[in-house]
Amino acid sequence: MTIGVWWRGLNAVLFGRRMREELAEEMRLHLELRAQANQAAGLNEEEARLEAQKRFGNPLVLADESRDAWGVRWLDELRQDLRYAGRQLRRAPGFSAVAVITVGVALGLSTGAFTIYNTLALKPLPVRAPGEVVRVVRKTDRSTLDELPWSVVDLIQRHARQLHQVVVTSAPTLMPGGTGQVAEPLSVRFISPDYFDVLGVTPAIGTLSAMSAGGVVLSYDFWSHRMNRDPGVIGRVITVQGIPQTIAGVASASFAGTGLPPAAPDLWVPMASEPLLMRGVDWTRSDTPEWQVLARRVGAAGAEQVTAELKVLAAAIPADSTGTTQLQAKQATYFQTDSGEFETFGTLTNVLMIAVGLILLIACFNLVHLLGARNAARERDVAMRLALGAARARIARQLCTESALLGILGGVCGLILSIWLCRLLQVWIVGTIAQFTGGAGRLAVDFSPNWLVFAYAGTLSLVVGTVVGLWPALRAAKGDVNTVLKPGATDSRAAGSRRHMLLALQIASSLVLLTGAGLLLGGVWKSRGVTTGFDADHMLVLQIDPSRTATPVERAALMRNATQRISAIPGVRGVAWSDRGPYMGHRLRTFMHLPTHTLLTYGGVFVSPGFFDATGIALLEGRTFTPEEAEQGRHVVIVSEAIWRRFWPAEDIIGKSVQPSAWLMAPDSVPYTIVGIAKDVRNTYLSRVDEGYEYFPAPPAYASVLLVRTTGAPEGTMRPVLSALGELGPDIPSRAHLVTLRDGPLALQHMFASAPASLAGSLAAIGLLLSAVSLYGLVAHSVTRRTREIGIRVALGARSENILGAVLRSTLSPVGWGAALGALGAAGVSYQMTQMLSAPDAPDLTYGAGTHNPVVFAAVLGVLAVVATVASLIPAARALRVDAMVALRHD
Amino acid sequence: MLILATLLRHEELHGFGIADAIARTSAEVLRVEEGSLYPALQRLLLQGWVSGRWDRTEGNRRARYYRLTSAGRAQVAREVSGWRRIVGAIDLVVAPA
Repeated sequence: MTIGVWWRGLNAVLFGRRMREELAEEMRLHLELRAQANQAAGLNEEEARLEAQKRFGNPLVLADESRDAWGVRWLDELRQDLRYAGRQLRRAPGFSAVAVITVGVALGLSTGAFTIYNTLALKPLPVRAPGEVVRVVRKTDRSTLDELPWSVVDLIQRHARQLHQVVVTSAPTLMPGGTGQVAEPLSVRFISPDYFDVLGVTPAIGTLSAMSAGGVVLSYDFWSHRMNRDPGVIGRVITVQGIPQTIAGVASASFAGTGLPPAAPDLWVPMASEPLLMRGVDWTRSDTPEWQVLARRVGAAGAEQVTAELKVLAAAIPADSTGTTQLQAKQATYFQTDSGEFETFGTLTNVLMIAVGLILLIACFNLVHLLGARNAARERDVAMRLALGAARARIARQLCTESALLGILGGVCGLILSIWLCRLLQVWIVGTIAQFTGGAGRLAVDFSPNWLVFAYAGTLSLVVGTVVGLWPALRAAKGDVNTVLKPGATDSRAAGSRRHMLLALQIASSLVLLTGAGLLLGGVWKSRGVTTGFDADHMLVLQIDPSRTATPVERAALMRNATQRISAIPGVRGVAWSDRGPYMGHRLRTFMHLPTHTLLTYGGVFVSPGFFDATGIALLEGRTFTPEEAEQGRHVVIVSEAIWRRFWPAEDIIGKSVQPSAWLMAPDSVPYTIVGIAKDVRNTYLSRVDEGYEYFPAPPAYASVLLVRTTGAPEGTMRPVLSALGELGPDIPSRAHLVTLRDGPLALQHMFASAPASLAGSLAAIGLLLSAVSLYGLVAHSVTRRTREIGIRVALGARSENILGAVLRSTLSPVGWGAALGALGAAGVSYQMTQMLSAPDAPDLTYGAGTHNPVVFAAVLGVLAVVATVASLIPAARALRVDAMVALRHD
Repeated sequence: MLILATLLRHEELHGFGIADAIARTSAEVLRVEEGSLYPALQRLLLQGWVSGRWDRTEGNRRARYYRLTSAGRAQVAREVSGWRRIVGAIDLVVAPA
């Protein structure tokens, strides 16, 4: 068929009425002209008319045939079906509202989850042909690391034949520098000289190709905020660590870098400058994993083929402390939720998708019940039409159109709901991060829907509408005219058992959701009693925005002075600086403990001598650092109890000299002396005691946070602290972010557990509610259906408990089956959560309660039992009120 | 084909005109159910072989006048030549030796 034919067909739909009228007019004219001709030939008027009609044929049939020629009969019928469906839905507003809300909530949640998935997992890198770009990551037993040492990068560059144009970028490093007299901390990423060319990033101004000549590239953000988009910056000099660099260009606004997590640095510097700027540290000569690797695939090679090749290459890498190296190529995405930094996010998103999928399933079954019940009520109507000669297929199609319309209406509601939910979530995330980091933390997330989300919602609502409607519709159309039209007909045993099967599946799905929520809520419950191991109730956390501080020396002086001033405030027990406070980011190292072959994750922190006084972390043995050790950054270390017990159980280790090894997070390769043993605490996550923690002495230049311990409630000391800061400089209080540990970092820790738990809890509640509605409907239906039987029983003298038992017995078995099936699913959930929470550097959302928590399982079953009992007792109680006389007159 | 051929001969006709022309030209031999003309005309319109135009008849009645389009002309040529071939072939078979 040509386009012209389609076009005219479309015209026929749009102007169908006019075309029918025109055709009728033509035919009328024909008959009249023929009659006139006949009259002229000598027939009388009546005969002439009859003869004309005889010669013409049946005009109605011919008109139908003509419409067939337009090829739009099915469209015509669809329009009829839609009009009919709309009328039916309007006629039962209660049913329609319940159905649309059910579908709307389920689709809203699904679409919302998909929006998040779409944003996090599917968002491509902002580069040319992002589909070709892979990220090479290193896989260990329990997690995936996205940074590789240079030796591995070199191996890939030389030998990987399926990859060409391998480029690297380092993690962002803070370095003092700027264009003016005053240095400010700049976030710098070192990159391959051909980085921008390979990725195909366009410049906002200047050129990005001059990196090999030593020029640096600014991020659009930096250029906008610090340089007011001055087009004259190209060719100007910016100093980094006091070394002048020429600005070659500014990257386009959409390019936020390829690093993980995605955040644009202030500037990109060619990697050749790295040893110069890092003062003697050369990342291309050391073994530290610093490089994130991106490459373009050659030709048609898929990520799996590349991985296969990398596997062979990785065999050449000698095993190190983390075990053997396994390399993998992953399709590069913006957040890379399948490895590294955001892996936990990715897993959570997948879990969320499964959870909302279960809700959608439950809602669909509800709709099947609803439509089934509604079609049953219309059985006579349908049977009558069948008896009058309607085609079964046509009736099924009509009923299906009705459910598809419901699906679409629900989908529209769902889409609106999902957009609203996602906006809420976005505002919440951005607000939360800003609140806990004093406005410093930024994460570029945008949960607004794109065409993929609309397509997803549209397809899903159509599929749900049609599939859900298909079964009840076919059943309704299959109905036997004879039995249905007879008075007093009840529905078949088979239909009843199918309904029971769906109910069982609903119960099972709810149980799975409840278990997940239960395990997480159990974690929240346990988190209330958790002790940190330090004096968390009496601590203040102070950060001072350094952006206008002149040099590292001045910065150090500020920290030292602030420490002195605050120490003098009455009610302050201790003040200390540290490069990071408790729960405020962490430096972790995961390694293989070879004797036991277990993976361990140790944390490390640089602190001032007063740290242990200022936190209340007890020293079991030895001493804290001396001021001299801190000022000069001596090679001494305080280890946590667990490290002591693991490496030298029952041995006196104070004064012991240790070589830097896998477990010691030493910044250089000189032997360290152990001077103390600190008590094990929860320093990284509130949810678990650290497996090992190392404390190194640090001068105030390392300080990024001040910890203040108070004797009384910390809130009372906040004002004096701020006024003490005011004495150091009038603008300092305005740059300070002061918060109690409990309201700041600790609250965030609690939220890590409570946010997923409340999300899971809400989902489980919605699922349970939908299942309860379904159960209620089923029992109510069964009571209505058996009114006559109950009436007879009552008339024969049955007691109320007998009747109640009879009614409930029929719904007991699907609930039982559902619970059994759900228990299997719950075991699966518990297994999955074990897998998910066992990553060494992830928080333990169950707070040590574990994922095989019998209390939770018992509680979940209890909740299900209570809800099921209530949902079935209320309608069953109606059976007790059945009046024998009324019931037997029912028909 | 009959309709197209008729239109080829008569330029522009309304429905009744076509039916009448076919009947008359074929000396009343081809007298099919006249109404079946209309579904056929709708198909031809949809194919784009004829175009329709509303106008007044001599008796001042509104009527749709059909005429061949250029695609229609090509179609007639195709169909007529096909028909000729078949008729010729049949002629050869049934012709007395």
